Amino acid sequence: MRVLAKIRVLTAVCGLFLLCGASSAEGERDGAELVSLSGRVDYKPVRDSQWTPAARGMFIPQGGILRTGEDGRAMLLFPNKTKVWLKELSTLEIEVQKNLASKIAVFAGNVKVRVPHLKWKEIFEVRTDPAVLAVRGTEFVVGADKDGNLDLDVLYGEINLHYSVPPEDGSADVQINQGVRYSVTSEPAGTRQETGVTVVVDEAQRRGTVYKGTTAMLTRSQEVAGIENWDPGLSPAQRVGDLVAKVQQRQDMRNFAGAVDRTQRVVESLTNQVMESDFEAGRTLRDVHGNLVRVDQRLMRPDNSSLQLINLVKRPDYSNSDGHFSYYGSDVSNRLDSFQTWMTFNMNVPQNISDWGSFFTNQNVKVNKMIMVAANQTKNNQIYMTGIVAENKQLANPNAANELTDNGKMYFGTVDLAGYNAFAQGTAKSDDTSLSPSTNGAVLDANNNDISGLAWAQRPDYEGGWNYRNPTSQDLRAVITWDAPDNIMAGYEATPYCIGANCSVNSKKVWLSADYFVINNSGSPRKVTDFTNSLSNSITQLASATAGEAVIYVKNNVNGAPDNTLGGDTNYAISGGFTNPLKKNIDIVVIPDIAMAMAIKLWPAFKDVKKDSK
Amino acid sequence: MRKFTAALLAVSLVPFLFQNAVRAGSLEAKGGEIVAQILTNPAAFFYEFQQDLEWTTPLPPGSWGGVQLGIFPVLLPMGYANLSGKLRLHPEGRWFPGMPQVDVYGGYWKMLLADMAVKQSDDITSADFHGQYVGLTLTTSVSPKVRLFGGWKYARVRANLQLSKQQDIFGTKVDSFSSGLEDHFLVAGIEYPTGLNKWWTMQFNYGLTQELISAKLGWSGQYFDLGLNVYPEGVLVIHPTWNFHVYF
Repeated sequence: MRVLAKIRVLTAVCGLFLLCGASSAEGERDGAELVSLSGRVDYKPVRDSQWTPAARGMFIPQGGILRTGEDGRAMLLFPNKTKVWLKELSTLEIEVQKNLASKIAVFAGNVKVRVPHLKWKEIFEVRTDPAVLAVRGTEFVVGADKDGNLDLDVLYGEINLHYSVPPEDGSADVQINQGVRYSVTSEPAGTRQETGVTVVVDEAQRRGTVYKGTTAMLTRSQEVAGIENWDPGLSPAQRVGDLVAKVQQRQDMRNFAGAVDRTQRVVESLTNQVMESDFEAGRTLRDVHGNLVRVDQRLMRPDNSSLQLINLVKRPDYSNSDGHFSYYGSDVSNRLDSFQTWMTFNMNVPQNISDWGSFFTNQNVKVNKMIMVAANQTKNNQIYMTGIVAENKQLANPNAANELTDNGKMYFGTVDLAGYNAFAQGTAKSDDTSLSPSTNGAVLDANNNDISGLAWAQRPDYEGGWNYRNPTSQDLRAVITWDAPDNIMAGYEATPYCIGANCSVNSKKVWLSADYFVINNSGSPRKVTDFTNSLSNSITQLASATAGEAVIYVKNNVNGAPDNTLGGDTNYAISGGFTNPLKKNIDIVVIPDIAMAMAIKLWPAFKDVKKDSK
Repeated sequence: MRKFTAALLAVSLVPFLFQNAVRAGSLEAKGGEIVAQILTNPAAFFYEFQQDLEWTTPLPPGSWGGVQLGIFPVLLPMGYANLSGKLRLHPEGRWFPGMPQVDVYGGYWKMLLADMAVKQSDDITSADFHGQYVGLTLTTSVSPKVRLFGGWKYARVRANLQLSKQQDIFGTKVDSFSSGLEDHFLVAGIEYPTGLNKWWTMQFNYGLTQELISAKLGWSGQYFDLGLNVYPEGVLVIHPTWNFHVYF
């Protein structure tokens, strides 16, 4: 009994599955659905049956034929989502409609086919009189007539056309790619075609007919006719409505692009004008203290024989946190520091930068004078500055070497803008021996007036009187030299000077002191290894992400060293009587951008530049 | 043979250089400037020529693969023995509607001129110039004729030269450089057919790390490409190119 019960249960379960299967099979209707139509559209379920009016929503079964009248249009939807549109006076037959195979035959008219996708091993074929089209792409239009002529416009994807009978002079298969029209025309038998075209003789099925296939690019009108909206019931204007909108969009984009192009040309024109006259560069970064810094650089030609490099350093707020020399200035807002170099040559500098290379390689070109000045210009009437003037030795002695020398002199002080300009532009006279006593270090302007607040000082190794030597290195000039632990590119240095070359008086001894950093754009000191790994960054890229920073002081001398005690006015600029209430250092950030551009531009020249042996 | 080393760097420059140099009035100055740019970043200079042979355009519809040989200026006069290949992984719209054509490509070059120089010259201790690239391109049609393509490319160049003694190249002393470049690029462009088996393409390449920019304008036929490549920040801003290819 138990066995019988089990058999009943199994039978019931199997019956349930069978019912489900039957219901599932009923859900997949045979054939293609006529989803849309307009005008006269007829169909017949099999070839030998009578034409009957088609209705929207009906299914055209396998073997069924659909035709449109003079005003008729129709759209079929296949189970695999393939859409087939019929224009007026078109006839097609659904020859095969299976799970992995769909075949339709186009007898006449114009039919558009869009195959969304094909499953693995699935085929979709369109048969015409002369050939079978295997769909390998997505969208195409077939135009056929009863005489065996065929126009195949491939809109998207690829079609493989297979002639019914292999041609005598080539393959029966022709691959047609998108954007191409392939036309087959039938001609009377016995006619042979010119070289380069496909000739097909379908002797078995169409005795007496020769097919000729030609390939050409789709014309614009053919393209539009193919991609316009083929849905039934639309007016001609509605069919191309989307295309018109796209054309308008493209025109809008062209107009926009044209406007951008014109603007860009204007900007380029302005840029070129600037670049023709000067090099210029700018960068925003953080300094080693973490302050936001804007650096602007310009290379200018103030006169025919001079070049002037100006490096402006602007900070909205300034605080000092790093360095080996004490900074006792309070935080400052809207700080401005500058560094400039003024070079005067013995002949005119070419106007065209492209000619600079040959200019600097000219052996007769000499630098007569070079002025370098660093300044804290936060207040125009209290510019805290240090500078060096170097002159060509041949100016004083024609037989001397063609070298620049600063004669060991340094200028510093707190001046107003006029005094600063007098120095920076080279009109200041250096040490004034006419004043009494000459050792006060006064500096005169072009009119022999004392530039108030500006002093000159001499390195002791030039004048003697202060027999200073670094106990460690025995270096005459520097008490501390380059220091780079762990490959960090930073260091500090202090060089002794005597104001007015008066090294016999302790109060006249000062130290030109500076912290140096090579930083990245975030203000972190760079390591030597950053520059030795050339695989990840080029030199030019590294340069664009690298800057140099120098924090400069003129310190008092205490026991043969810079006064670096905490809490005092250790800067000579203050204790020496100069007015420098808030700005107790000069903090210059220099970007190498212009230098890189010049180095590349003027490479041949730089290799011959003579350096001051000092 | 002493000049052979200079020729390595200068041989490809002269045709381009001459016109500008005459205009500038100083061949040496212009040559020195160009050499300076090369020595500043040698790999970038050699990569510009690699880009001339890089085959980053999509395969035409209906082709499943292809190979290309860069002829000018890479094989001649630079001496880059090179070969590039391209394979279609997916034709447009085949797997599902809207899915673009997917091509993968790659190529390799090696400067035979450098190897010859090492063997024949006592001035050159070693020289190794080679590069390779791989990438993937997605292509989609915006109309039956117009296709947009874009993708990713990884390119790598090695440029190492060691001389036994200093050479004077356009007035610049050179004894060695060892440099390399590698970057991931974004590639975007447009293709338009002008006839059967004829296309013109325009594309932009942008290096994500090195920030290299290039623009390529090309006319492709069944077997040959003519191109005009523009490297705005390059040593030679405009490169005319000529490549041979076969599609399968």
